[in-house]
Formats: sequence, C-alpha cells, structure tokens
Amino acid sequence: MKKEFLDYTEALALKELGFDEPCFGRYYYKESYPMLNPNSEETELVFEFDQYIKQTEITILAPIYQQAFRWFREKYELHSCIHSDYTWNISGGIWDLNEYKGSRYDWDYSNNYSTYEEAELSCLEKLIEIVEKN
Amino acid sequence: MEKEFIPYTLALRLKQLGFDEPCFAGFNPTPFDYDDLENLIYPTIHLEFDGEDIIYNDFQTEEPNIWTIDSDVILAPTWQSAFKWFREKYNLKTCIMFRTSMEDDKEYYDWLIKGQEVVYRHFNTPEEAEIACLTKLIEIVKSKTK
Repeated sequence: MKKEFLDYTEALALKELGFDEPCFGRYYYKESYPMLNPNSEETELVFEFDQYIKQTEITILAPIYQQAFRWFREKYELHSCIHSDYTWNISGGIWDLNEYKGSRYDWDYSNNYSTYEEAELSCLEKLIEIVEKN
Repeated sequence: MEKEFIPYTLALRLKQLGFDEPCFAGFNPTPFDYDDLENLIYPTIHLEFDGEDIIYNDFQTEEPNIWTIDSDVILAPTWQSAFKWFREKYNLKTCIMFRTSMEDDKEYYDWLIKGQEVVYRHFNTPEEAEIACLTKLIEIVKSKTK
C-alpha cells in the first residue's frame, strides 16, 4: 500500500505549501515509508477518518495521490490528468494540465513517460513547481 | 475522509468482479441500517499494541500484515486504487478530463477510456465524472466476462 502515498520528498513539498488535511499516513522524521496516522496520541486502536494528528516539525502528512491532485485543483484551480498519448497507441503516460490565469486557462502537456506512475510523479512535481513560483 | 473511497454500490460491484486488494477501509457486510450504507465504512487497518506501548504500523510492505479483514467484508477501494486495478488487470486506461467550453466558457469534466468511443457528457464535477467512468469500466468488464 506504500504506492498509494506520495513519496517523502513530495509530501514534504506539500507540507511546505500548506497542505494540512486528514491523511491515512504520515512520515516520521525522514523515514522512506509512511506510517499509519492515528486519530490521536492516545491509545486508540482504530483511527477515525476525520481526525488526525497535526503535522509537527518531525512529522509530515502523507497524502495519497488523489488527495494531492484534488488539493491542487480545489485550492489553486490546477486541473491535471494522466493518460496515454493522444493517439492512445503507446504504453506509458503523459500528463495534461490546465492552469487558471486570471480570465483564462493555460494548457500544458508533457512528453511521454514509460509508465503511468512516472507521468503521475512528473505531473505532481510540475504542480508543486507552479505553486512555488506563484 | 469518506470521499476518498468509491461508493458502496460500486464497491460491491467491484467485489463481484473479483477485486481483492489491500484497502484502508471496508463496508460493513451486515449493516444495522440499510438506508445508511454509505456511513458504514470502517477502517480495516489497526494499530498494534505491545503491552502498553503502541507499535505504529507502517505501509512498508506491499502485503501488510495489518490488513486484517474477513471474507464477507466489502472492501472500500480509494478512487485511485479502483482505477489502477482496471488499468493493470484489464488494460483499461482512463482519465478524467477538465475542459472549458469554447462557446460559453463553462467548465466541465469528462471521462475517457482507452479504446472506447468518446462520449462527451459534460459533468459538472470531477466526482460525477469519476462515478460515471467507474460505472462504465464495470460494465465493460462484466460484458467481457459473460
């Protein structure tokens, strides 16, 4: 299930951009794998979906990919999707991105990546880069 | 966080198609209130105790031993895990597209499935498009396996 989550680097970048929403996992220090994010520091056996421990200096929330993409869409009007190229004839994936610029959307897209996951990661990095610049 | 999961009715249809991947949550197979199925989602992952101390479970392994679940439960996949399952198992690649209308600047969403005829329906939200796309994927697989 590790693959459901953003890697540490991207999770850290989102934290620095202000991401702060309930997550299933969190990174502790610089561990390379996310740990379950319980609903409190108390000895609860089962976590509550809408409660979670807030981030600290040493913990970083670990969003799953759909959460991260939704956050960029809802907070920054950055609409992205991952798909095959426009001829739909090759494997792998590309990303396509609509960025709201005042009164219109700018459209951008990537080259082909050999896997869907590579395209997904590249798209996320692009979204982070756009928000960091603005 | 319920919005991270596909709805009960679709989860049930995925189970019938053979979906059996580790999930964060499941739906209660024997709900007390059948009118309130959507709210009966519950976590399938638990913290473990060692005496008085919590051993924080992690997601390091692909098949975590924390995935303790009985066969009756209806797994609740996240949207991404449901789409991934169709992509990897059936080579059904999808995307939820955002577009704006050239005529009136209206924003809308549509789905695409590789190899399928493109039918633009102009959904108002990505969530509506996701539900429609997943429903279509289930129909495709069901028709292939008949």
